[in-house]
Amino acid sequence: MNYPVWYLPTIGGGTLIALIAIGHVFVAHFAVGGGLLLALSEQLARGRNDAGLLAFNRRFARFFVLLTLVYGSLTGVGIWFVISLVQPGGTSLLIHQFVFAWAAEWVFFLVEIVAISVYLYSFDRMAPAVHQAVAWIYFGAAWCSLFIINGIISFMLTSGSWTTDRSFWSAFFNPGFWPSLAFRTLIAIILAGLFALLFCSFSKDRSLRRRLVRYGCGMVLPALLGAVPAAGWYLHSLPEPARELVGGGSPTIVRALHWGGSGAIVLTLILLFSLWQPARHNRALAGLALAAALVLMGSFEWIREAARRPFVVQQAMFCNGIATAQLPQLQQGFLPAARWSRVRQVAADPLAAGRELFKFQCYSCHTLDGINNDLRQRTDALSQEALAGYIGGLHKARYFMPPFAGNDGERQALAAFLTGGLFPAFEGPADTQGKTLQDQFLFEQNCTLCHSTELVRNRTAGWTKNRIRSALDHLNRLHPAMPDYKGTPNEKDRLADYILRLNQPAAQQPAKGVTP
Amino acid sequence: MNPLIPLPDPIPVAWGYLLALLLLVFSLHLLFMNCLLGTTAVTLYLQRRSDAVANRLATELSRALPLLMAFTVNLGIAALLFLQVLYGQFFYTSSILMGSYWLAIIPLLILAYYALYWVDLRYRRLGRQRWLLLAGVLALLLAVPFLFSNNMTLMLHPQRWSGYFDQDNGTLLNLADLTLWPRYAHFIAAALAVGGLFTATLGRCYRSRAPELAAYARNLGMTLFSRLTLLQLLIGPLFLFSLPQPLRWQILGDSPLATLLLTTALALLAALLVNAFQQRVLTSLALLVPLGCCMVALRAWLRSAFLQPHFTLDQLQVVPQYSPLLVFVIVLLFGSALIGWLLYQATRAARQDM
Repeated sequence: MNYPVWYLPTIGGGTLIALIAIGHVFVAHFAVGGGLLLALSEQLARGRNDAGLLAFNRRFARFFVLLTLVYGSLTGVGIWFVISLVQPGGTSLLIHQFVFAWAAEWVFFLVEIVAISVYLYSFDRMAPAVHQAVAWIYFGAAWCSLFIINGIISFMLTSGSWTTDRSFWSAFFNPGFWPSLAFRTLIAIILAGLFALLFCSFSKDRSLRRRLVRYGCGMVLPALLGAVPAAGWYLHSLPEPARELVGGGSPTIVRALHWGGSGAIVLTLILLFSLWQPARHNRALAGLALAAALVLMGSFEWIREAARRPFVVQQAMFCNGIATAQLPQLQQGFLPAARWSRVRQVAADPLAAGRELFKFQCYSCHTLDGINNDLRQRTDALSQEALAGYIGGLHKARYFMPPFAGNDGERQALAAFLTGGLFPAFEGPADTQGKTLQDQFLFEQNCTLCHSTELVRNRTAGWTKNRIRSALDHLNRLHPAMPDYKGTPNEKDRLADYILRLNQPAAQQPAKGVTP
Repeated sequence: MNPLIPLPDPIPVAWGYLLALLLLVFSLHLLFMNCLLGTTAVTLYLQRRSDAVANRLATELSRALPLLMAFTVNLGIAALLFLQVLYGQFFYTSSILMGSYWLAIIPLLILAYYALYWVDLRYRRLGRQRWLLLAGVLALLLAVPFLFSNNMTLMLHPQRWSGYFDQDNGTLLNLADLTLWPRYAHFIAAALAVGGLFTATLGRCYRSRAPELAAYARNLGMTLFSRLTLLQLLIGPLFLFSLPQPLRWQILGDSPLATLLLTTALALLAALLVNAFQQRVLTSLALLVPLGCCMVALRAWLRSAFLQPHFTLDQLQVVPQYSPLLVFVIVLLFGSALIGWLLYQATRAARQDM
């Protein structure tokens, strides 16, 4: 709210970040592990006087430079550009908090550029020992870059004692620092080995290919094995609410966990097969292994980002850029305090006010009619009243959602904007708390945002009222991602009646919600 | 104060350290960026020549281009870092207002970088397509500083930011700014000139191995450098006169610091022109570096003068934490030593190879 919002409602800032970040994290980790691979393979080639392996090393170095130095480094700058456009408040916090960490990382990046360029252009010109030393310097600098970036990224998820002491060192060596560093280092080694396996599958020298498959698998399998406890350690370091999200509290995270697990299994099977039958290792297998690693890596990054919600920096700033400390003041009225809002009062133009509220509070994660996390799809079946009620308590129903920062009138304006942008009955601020809650309204407010009416009807087909009523007492037992319903016993009774009626021929046809 | 200006975050050390670092890394960035842009133009020009020496020079120059790109980007990152720490509330805002263009810089740079590697690694095989590729790279490299100039001028004018209320999709440029075009021309002319000087300097490395090449590079490079630098005597005053009157008068005498910087720069420019026309490569280079630093300092002064009604650096809240600065300095010294060793080994290897 301190900054303007670059507003592309059908695309969404999150999509733009993901587009750049997915490729970057993959290549950036490869840039670290690849350095180790270059140093080790040259050492091995020279030690065993293996001309084929040395020639491979040389070709691999060129591919490595083209991928990491160009695509890797520029997408790294790209992430910085895009987060400063989409999350300027969070970016500013990270830049100011860690300015000298970023600066030190820049120095290591400079060393990387010089080292890898010298390495590439000095094959056969340098004494072997010096050339190998150059590779080790590259790897050392690349790992130090990872060390620093890891401190900053893990801080966003586990800010630790920084929230109270504001010390640079508490922030950098936060509770997630070491497990995350271990996990990322292992991922870097895995990716380097997999790229080498892919690269060597193009070689026509069968004997070299077999040797490389052995070396590659020997590098990736132990790292993959080590990544499992490292991931557990990382999970253990998460703050309690984030751990609950990963443990089943968030359906999207659970889905990502399944994807990641599948990726790891496919990868392990391919590697074991290649180790058993190195002669049958081919491009398709190598490509599939790399794709599986991409799924594994992508899931990990997705989970990390998702588990951080509702914060962009744990306990300090919500993902929509609102500082946690500002919240109480903003709940008195958001628009008058939002310097970049077109509208300062709801009454002046409720439709425009709703749009501004969406832009400043929802757009950082949601799109409107877009492909990524479309909010319209979830809300257009709801009534304004039901949605306004839900918005008021959305952070309680869903831990990963930031609380709405605004007064009742603003809540109504946002609800009106999201329920179709038409609110003929809207006559300024209204308080839903005092109104009689109708059965359908109860259903919309509590169920429709996540479940379509059809889904609820199908799931409860044949259920008795008692069963429905009992389920409403323990929703969390139906699915770990379902928050328990906190309504009064009377409300639960009415809701149970309403759900029961859904399966009767003359059932009332309420709103059509969506399935998450 | 303009109500649209966001509140800045506190800084960990006194602003002077950060400004000194910004000036240092931006001067270096500018030097490499000038070499990159100008050398690309020279390499493109050489494609039109059919003589062997021109062809050889173009080959040598094209080998340097990807490296120049790498250093330009790297140093640019550092400059943007310190700029964000000192002027983040202005810079993030203007970047968002032109977000769609600003983010486009990344794909433009990726394209240019890959094209430069393509030219380098496939120089002979590319044949006539080299011309096309290099022309494309030059166009991209001209577009990127234009977007930078837009952002760097838009951030100085909070009064223009209200355009956001009618256009929030990140497509606001600062085209109506009178200073934009002369400022951009000033940068581009300098870059093309420095490309000439870089050509001459690179040629100088071949004095003993290929004297003909060295002479050709010197003649071409220094001619380009001297004439384009002379042209700055026209563009510079144009830029100066495009500035708002109070700022112009400050540079022309009212502000001792700005006037000192300008007069020093003019004295260095005069000496530089004499040496450039006499084709003295190393002396020109030795004069160009302090001239560039003066210009960068004058630019920083101009930025603070533009923002003075809204903000001065001493308004930034300092929450002191000096130990990370100390660690950075140690890393910088250690990194510089490593780079020194790497360059020494590379030079030694290249010499042995001759």
